[in-house]
Amino acid sequence: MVRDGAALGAFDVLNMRLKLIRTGGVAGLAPPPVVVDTAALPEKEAQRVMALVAEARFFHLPAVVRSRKPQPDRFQYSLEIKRKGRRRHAVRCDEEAASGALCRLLHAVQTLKNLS
Amino acid sequence: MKKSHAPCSIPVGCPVCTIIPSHMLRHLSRHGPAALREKAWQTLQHSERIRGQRDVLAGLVAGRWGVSPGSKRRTIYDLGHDTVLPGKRVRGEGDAKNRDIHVNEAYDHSGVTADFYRQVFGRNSVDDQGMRLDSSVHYYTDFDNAFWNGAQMVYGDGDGVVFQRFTKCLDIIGHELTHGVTQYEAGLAYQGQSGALNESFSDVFGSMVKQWKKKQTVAGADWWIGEGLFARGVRGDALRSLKAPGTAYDDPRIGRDPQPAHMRDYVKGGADHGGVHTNSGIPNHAFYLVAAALGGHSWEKAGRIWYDTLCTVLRPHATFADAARGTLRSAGILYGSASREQDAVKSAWQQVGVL
Repeated sequence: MVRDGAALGAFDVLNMRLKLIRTGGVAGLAPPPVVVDTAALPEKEAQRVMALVAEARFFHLPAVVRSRKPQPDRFQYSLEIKRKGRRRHAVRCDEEAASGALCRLLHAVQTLKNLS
Repeated sequence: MKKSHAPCSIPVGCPVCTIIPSHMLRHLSRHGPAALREKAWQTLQHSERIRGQRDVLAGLVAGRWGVSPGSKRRTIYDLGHDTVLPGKRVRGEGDAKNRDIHVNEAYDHSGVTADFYRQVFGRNSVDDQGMRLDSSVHYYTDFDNAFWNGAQMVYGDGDGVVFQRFTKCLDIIGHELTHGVTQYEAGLAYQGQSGALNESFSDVFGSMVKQWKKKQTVAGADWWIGEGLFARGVRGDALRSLKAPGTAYDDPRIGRDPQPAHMRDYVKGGADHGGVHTNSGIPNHAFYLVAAALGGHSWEKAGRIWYDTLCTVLRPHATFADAARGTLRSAGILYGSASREQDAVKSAWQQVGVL
């Protein structure tokens, strides 16, 4: 696992709230935001999400990750993560501009059920 | 990659386009000095397009690139739920059917789309130079999308709750490939009005591919985009309707089709690159109105007007008004000023509030 400078500890695993909004796509739908509380996830799932957050170095990403030349029909995402007692961080990005690790995080969160 | 030489925007009387006889251009394009070959080729390509005599070019393409006329070069890759393109090659041109329906649909529908472009507009693949048609299926897990990444098509399986597999619909595959055509022609920037035009051209040609395959008249076609893509239980017929934008679906889980059919309902700014999949309803409906006014097969007249406009008139930052003026001009060149066809175009853009 890639080490994240902002040190995600066991405390964070149980206390992260993720909110993901997805827009765009060939269908142009705007599905309801996915809101996930890691405390409400099975521990294994919570660990997986935390690992992806660390791998994507999420808390070090700029607020906007834009594609210089947007690809047609791609998704755009807006992911916000709050940790208890810390500043929230939010990233808006074009899917094609996201790193592999950030993409894996976004796709994984999108497929989680709403658990808050 | 954009062509280095933008097509001349003056179809009649442009010295470069008309002063050199076409047989000489043809000779130059094959045997002239390298720099001239390219110029001659582009000039030929452009003037032939204007005259709608693209067949002449098929032989040239064959001579120049060794691609025989009518040939397609499709390759389908299986990502196996990964996202690293293109994936494992599973079916090439002429190969027998695969056991996987996603693979076969990607193969068949991209083939029909290529045939449509060649037979109706004399276009040789996405870039008009015989480009390979690559498609990757099974992108990620339950992925609810299909897209053109600038070089190939990519399809998700759908989550089975809202969407079925994205290879299912011919018009969706026609839509994706048309994004490629637009990239090589007008190069419409994917933001705001030019982005909505980019989306609209994909819907318009996607719909025409389906109508052409089914041999439907304007009156007989359903004008849906992505009919049958929704999973069972979703309240909706399709993703969009060119005939009646805003009526394609209305479901408690996914909301209501937000497409406007008139400028008064244009959605400003915001998500999806400024609502490119929403505001495309306006030019979509304009195309429908032209086709409906002219009758017969949509691709014969309305489609020709739209195709010529995409290839010879529009620029990357074109607005809806530019598209309206451009299609008016194309209709005038093709069918004459104040012709029935040009009147239909004018009336359509007026009805959607652009003119």
